[in-house]
Amino acid sequence: MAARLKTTDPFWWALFSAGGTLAAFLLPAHILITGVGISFGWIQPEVIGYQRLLTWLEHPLLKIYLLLLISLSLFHWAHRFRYVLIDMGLRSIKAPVAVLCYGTAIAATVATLVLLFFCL
Amino acid sequence: MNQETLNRHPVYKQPMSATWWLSSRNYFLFMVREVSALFVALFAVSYLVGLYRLSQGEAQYTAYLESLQTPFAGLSFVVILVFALYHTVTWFSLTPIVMVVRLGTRVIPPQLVLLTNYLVWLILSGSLFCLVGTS
Repeated sequence: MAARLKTTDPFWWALFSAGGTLAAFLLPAHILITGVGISFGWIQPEVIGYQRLLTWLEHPLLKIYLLLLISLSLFHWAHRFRYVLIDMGLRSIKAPVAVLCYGTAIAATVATLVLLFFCL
Repeated sequence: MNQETLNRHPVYKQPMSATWWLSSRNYFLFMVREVSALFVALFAVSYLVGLYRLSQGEAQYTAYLESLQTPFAGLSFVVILVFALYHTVTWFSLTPIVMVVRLGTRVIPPQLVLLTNYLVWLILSGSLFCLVGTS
């Protein structure tokens, strides 16, 4: 007899966990280089210049990397933020909160996928 | 407890104020940790916007790069970086608790797991600097 699926939480938790790990290891360096570094002029914006980035993106591995980085970071946010909202008193509208959070992450993932693999 | 049981036996739920997390330092730090995810998401969205601008063409992407150099963007990235670092530190601190590594019958000391996390973090961050800077 097949086990009945009582909750989809383990699925979202797995994405949350994967995104949390990826963000913990990689985001600070990304923020420091392409964010703070470029803003404060420590790093030349040319390192992620138009031609250079397009050449890099010809490599499918970089596309997959960026897709995972963006998408899993957002699934990490979705799961945590869902519980932040519930903890802040939105328990009575639990279901719409979940749909809004995971829905945003899913929509952004589709957008990233389409941009990377069909528009670039 | 499933919904059916809950319906048959209504359970008292203590009402909670929306500012409960301000009542103690630990609760506050917990909330800071949870909210760090919002800044992680903001940065991911900034990359998504960058990819969109890149797909629009050179002029649009150059405008995006220029928008990254405004004082507002600079300040935002500093705030995002602070929360991202807090996420990294708290995530690493939880790793040895969530993931107990066993070698045969022996348990790898949690401090070693933590140290390994930080080492891998340094190596990955360094590699990223070199990759972006040189290739």
